[in-house]
This record gives sequence, structure tokens and C-alpha cells, in this order.
Amino acid sequence: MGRPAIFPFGGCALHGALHTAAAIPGVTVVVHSTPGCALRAGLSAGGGRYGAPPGLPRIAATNMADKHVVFGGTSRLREEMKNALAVLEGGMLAVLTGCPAEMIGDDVGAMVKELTAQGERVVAVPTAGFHGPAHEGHARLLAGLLAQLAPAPTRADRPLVNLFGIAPGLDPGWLAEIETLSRLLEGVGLAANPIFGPEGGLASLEAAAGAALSLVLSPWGTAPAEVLAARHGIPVLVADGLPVGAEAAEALVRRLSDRLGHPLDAGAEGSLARERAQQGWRFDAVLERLAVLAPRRVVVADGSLRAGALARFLAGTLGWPVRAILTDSPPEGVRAPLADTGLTCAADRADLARLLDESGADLVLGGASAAAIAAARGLCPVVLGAAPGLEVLGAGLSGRAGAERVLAALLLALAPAPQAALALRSRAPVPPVFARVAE
Amino acid sequence: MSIQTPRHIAIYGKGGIGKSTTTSNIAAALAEAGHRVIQVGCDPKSDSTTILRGGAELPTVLDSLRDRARKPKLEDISAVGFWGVLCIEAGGPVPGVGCAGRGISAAVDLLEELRVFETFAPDYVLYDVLGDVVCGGFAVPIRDGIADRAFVVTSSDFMAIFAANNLFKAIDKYAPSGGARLGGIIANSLQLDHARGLIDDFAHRTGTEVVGYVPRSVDVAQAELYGQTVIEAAPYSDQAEIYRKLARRVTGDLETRLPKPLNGPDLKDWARDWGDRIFGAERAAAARSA
Ligand code: SF4
Repeated sequence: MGRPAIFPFGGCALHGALHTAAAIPGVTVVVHSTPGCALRAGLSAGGGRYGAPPGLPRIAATNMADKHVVFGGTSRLREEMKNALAVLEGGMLAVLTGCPAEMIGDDVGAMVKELTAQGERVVAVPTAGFHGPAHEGHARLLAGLLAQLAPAPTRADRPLVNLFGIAPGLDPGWLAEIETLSRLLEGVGLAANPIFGPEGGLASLEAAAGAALSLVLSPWGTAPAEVLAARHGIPVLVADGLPVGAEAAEALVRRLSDRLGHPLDAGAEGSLARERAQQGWRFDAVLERLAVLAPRRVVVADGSLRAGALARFLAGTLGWPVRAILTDSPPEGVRAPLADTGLTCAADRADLARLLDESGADLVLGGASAAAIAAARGLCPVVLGAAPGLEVLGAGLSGRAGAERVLAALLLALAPAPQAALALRSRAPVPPVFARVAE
Repeated sequence: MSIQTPRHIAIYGKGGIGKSTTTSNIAAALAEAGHRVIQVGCDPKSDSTTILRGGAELPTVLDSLRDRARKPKLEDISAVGFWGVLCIEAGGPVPGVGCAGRGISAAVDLLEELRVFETFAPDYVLYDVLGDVVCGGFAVPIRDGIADRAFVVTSSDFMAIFAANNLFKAIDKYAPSGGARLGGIIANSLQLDHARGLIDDFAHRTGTEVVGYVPRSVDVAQAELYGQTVIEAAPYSDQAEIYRKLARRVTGDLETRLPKPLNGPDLKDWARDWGDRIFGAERAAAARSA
């Protein structure tokens, strides 16, 4: 990029790793770095201008100071880990290192070994901010954990599928996506291994080594999948991003069943057919309203988990010209092939503003921050995500429900029903709970 | 003589090249001439001032910073050596742990905090710095105008020249923003015939000047065995005179300049040329004696 990031999207690699660790029940984090590294991640609760991702829980940190940079910070780390283990009941301690610790070369591995030799469950993963953007931190952490954990047998009675490439706390609606995909797999006789969220956890992390397949949904899922492929020979299936809509979802499960040699039974076929029918019926109901819309030049600005899939869905459904701008700075290796498809990357918010100006778009779909930038440039925004810090509550885009959500948001933005405006003007009494939220 | 503000002089050199010996002898010569001198060793090896102090132990600044909650006092981190030279060793972290460069910054910060330069009121402060300039911390003495002039000690050894060239790069980088300028090259341990010509040529190529030639001498080795400078151990020797002259030169009025460091390929070509010449000369000598 050749210039400092101006209003970056997701903080640094450490922040991404923190979000990821925080989403695995049973994993407790100690950050080995200067105080600001962990603090900034937690404090910027409004998705503030400095870009650290908000919404993190409280995190223990070694609070390195000048002294530790000069003499090494391992003594602080030893103390902090000891204290953490004293109050920790079960679970695992994960030591995440920030820039200073990695630059001065603290031998964190040796510290960890002291504890593991005493039977404690501690791992360390190098996650310094200089390794890359927040999503890179997600990939590094997950790959690092999978590379160190001893595998445990799966309890699933059906073929287990790891879901990789959805970054907790970073991708809007990450938990909803995991939930939808899990249900989708369940419907065709497979079991998803979610790792993150209430259904995930340490046991799920350990079970990943015994899965039948790793499903990679974004470039950020590649590193963890490769670790399992190398260590345990687990095959990898790379999906084309999230399956937005019933057709994409069906195509995905058919690929999965082919790959696993797990033919779909009558029940599975039935459930797929029902999904198709449900989506068709709903689409038909709004077809006329879609058909009268004048074609727009559309830009989808989102992370690589959602942007490509969303663009494909829109282009396929509406037949409008759609371009995608990736906002999560995917690894160089995956950018070159993407460039042919007209896909570009925005390194930060300033970059996105520039790309939007140049794109000639009149309609922009994306997460809350992309939509806000689009609105500020006078473009029509369609918000398809949660506000920063509320990613966990966001609704997903995958499957039939995801597609319906996209169309609803689109129609709301382009052809709002006139009654809605009237109702607002009539000042209907607002229920007290909403009033409180609005304050 | 006592001048108003002390003059800060940084002396760089690759490890093992004799920069501490040279710096200490310069310090001793200045002290002997009646100046108040501080020598600050900025080498994690922390043996810069040993021969000024008869080889006695001196806790380093970083050692004192390491374990103590309270700030160390000047007495804790300094010793008075030959002719009253105030000796200070910055020290460094345990090898492989922590950041030696940041350590030097921290040590220099502490000296300023303790107002050492005001209270001791030296005429000269000499910084003896490990000179490969491995990271920003080692550039501290020549950065931000801490030292106003820098010298580099080199032998005719290629690695020492390489380190000198690196220092030139650092000076070039920092001088425009108020960093030190180059006083010149100190040619040390000259022994072989070609050595002087080689260093002269390097100075010429980089637009710099050799301010002193110090031949290899048994006096130096002998004095060091006693834990002394040549000025102390053999005050009437030729070698002592050489150091006195060098001391006058580095503290005297001399034109400082911005060196023109050689880039990587140029430096390699230059070294190869010299290698061929020396090798050719040696072969001819061998043929003659055969
Ligand atoms: S970039 Fe490095 S120093 Fe900055 S917050 Fe991230 S880990 Fe900390």
C-alpha cells in the first residue's frame, strides 16, 4: 500500500486473534505485549476511528513496559500465566504475543513448556500485529491451536465437517452463518464442527483432527485446513464463499456429499426440494417489484467470506452488473487470480472511499462501515451486516434465509413502501424498550 | 582548560577491532592533558573502560536498572579511573533476550536524567559504540545531536571496513536531522604493507579522511595485560605519543563531513580489487624468495 492505514477495517492480527480466541468456550487468553495492544482491542467500543475491533471481553495482559523491552518480558509472562492458571478452572490458557514481545524475541515457547511439563494446558501462538490484518490473526491463531493440540476422538455419529474461514467478531453475522451451515449439513446427514460459539469449544477444537473433511469458506480458512491436512490427512474442500440462496446451498451440499462419498438419502433430497420450493414461492411474490426496478451499477464491499458470494448471487438473480471490493486485505496469493474477475481490494476505509468514487456505482451493498462510507459519498447504501461490535448478533447471508434477507434489504432501500414514511410522521407512541435503546 | 558545553564524540568500530583500546587511550591522553572526561561504553560486552580502571568490576547502567525499583544514582553506575576519567558502561541484556539497542537508549536517557553531564561538567564525553550499527539503538549516540562528531576505528580487515561503511550510511541518514557528522577514520592495528594504502583508498572513495594511523604495537598488548592504557603504562613510548596526537586531532578543529558510503555491489567490487592486488603482491614476494 505504501502508506499508513487510514481508518483500518479490523485492527491488527493480534486483535483478530483475540476475537477468535474469545469465541472458543474454554479458551482463556493472556496477551503478552504492551498494555495498549489488548486495551485498544477492547476499548474502541464504537468501532472508533483507530479501527481496533470493538466488542471484546476483558483480557489479561502482561503490560510490558520499557524495562521488559530491554531485558526481555518473560519474567512478567511467567507471573501472569501462573496467576491466570491459579484462577482458571479447567480449560486452556492461550498466550498471544503482540509486536514488542515478538520483536525482542522473548522465548515464549520455553515459558509455556515449563507449565506444560507440570501438566498445565497452555499453548502460545505468535500473533503480533505486524503479521497482517485482523483476519490474518484469525487464521494464524486457529492454525496455531490446531497445530499444537492433541487430537481427541469425535463424538459425532455422522461424518464431521470442519467449518473454516468464518472469523468470529470480524465477519458480520459470523455466528448466524455457522448456525445456518450447521443446520444445512445436519439436514443431509452430516455434522458440522463449529469450534466457535455456544456449540463450539475446546472439545470441538480437538475433534477437528478427527473430521471427515475441512470445508474452507474463505481464504482465511486455508491455513487451518492445511494444518489438519498435513498433520492428520484430513481432506479439504474449498467452497466459493458462503452459499447465498437455496441453489448455492444445495450445490454446496451436493459437492460435499460427492466428496465424502456420502450419498444423499430420500430425506435429504426432500429437505433440499422443500428449500427450493420455499425460496421460489417467496421470490415469486416479490418478482414484480424486482422487475420494475431500473438496473443499477452495483458494488459489493465486504470481506472475502461474503463479497464474492453476494456479488454472484446478485448478478445471477437480478442480471445487473456487479463488482466486488474486498475489505479484509486477503493474502497476496489469492488476489492475483481474483483480479481477473474484476475484484479489487480496499486496504482501509480511505481506500474504500476512493475505490467507490472510481467505481461509478450507484448502489453499494456491504457491512455497516462500508455502507456508511457509501452513504457519505452520496451512493445508495444497502446495509447487510451488524454495526461494529455487534457482529455476533448479525443475521447471516447463507442459505435460503440469507438470500431472502438480501432481497428484502435491497427492496427496502430501492422501493420503500410509501406507508412506512407516513407511519413515521404520525408519531406513533414508541414502546418503552425501544425508547431506551434509541436514547 | 574547561569549555562551556561538553563536546560529545562517538567512536564506532566493529567488535574486536580495538576501538575500546583506542577510545580509552584517547580518554587517558585527554585527562592527562588536564581535561575532564567521561567515557561511556555502549557495547553489550561492557569492557570498554576496563583499562582505564585497572580491570576492576563496574556494574553497568542496565544491570542497575534491571533489578532495582528505585532509579540508580551516579555512584552506582560509574567509577573514577585514570587521571579522573569518569567511566560508565551502558551494558546490555543477557544475549538472546531483550533489545540491546533499546538498552543503549535507556542508558543514555538515564545519564541525562541523572544530569551527569551537568554535575560532572566534563569537557569531553566519549562514546565507545559497537559499530556495526545493527539497529536504531546503536545509532543513538549519533542521532538527535547527542554526539556532534563521530569517528570510526577500522583495520584493513574487510569486515571492519564493511562496518565503517555501515556507520557512514547511518551518519548520512541522521545528519540532515541534526545527527552527528563524520570526523574521520582512525586506522588501527596497521601492520601489513598494504594496510595503509587500502584504508586511504577507502577514505578517498567515500569522501572522508583518515585522522590517525595507529600501528600495531607490543606496548599496547603489554599495557593491556596490566589493565592499563599505554598512556599510563608506557607514557614515554612512541605509541603513547601517537595516541596523544590522535586525541588532539579528534578534539581539535577539524572539518566534519558527510561521507559517501559505497553501495553493496560497489563495496564488493572494491574489496575484490584489493583482494587481487594483495594476493598478487604476496605471490610476487613468494616467487622472489623462492
Ligand atoms: S499492531 Fe502490534 S503493537 Fe499495535 S496493537 Fe497490534 S500487536 Fe499491539
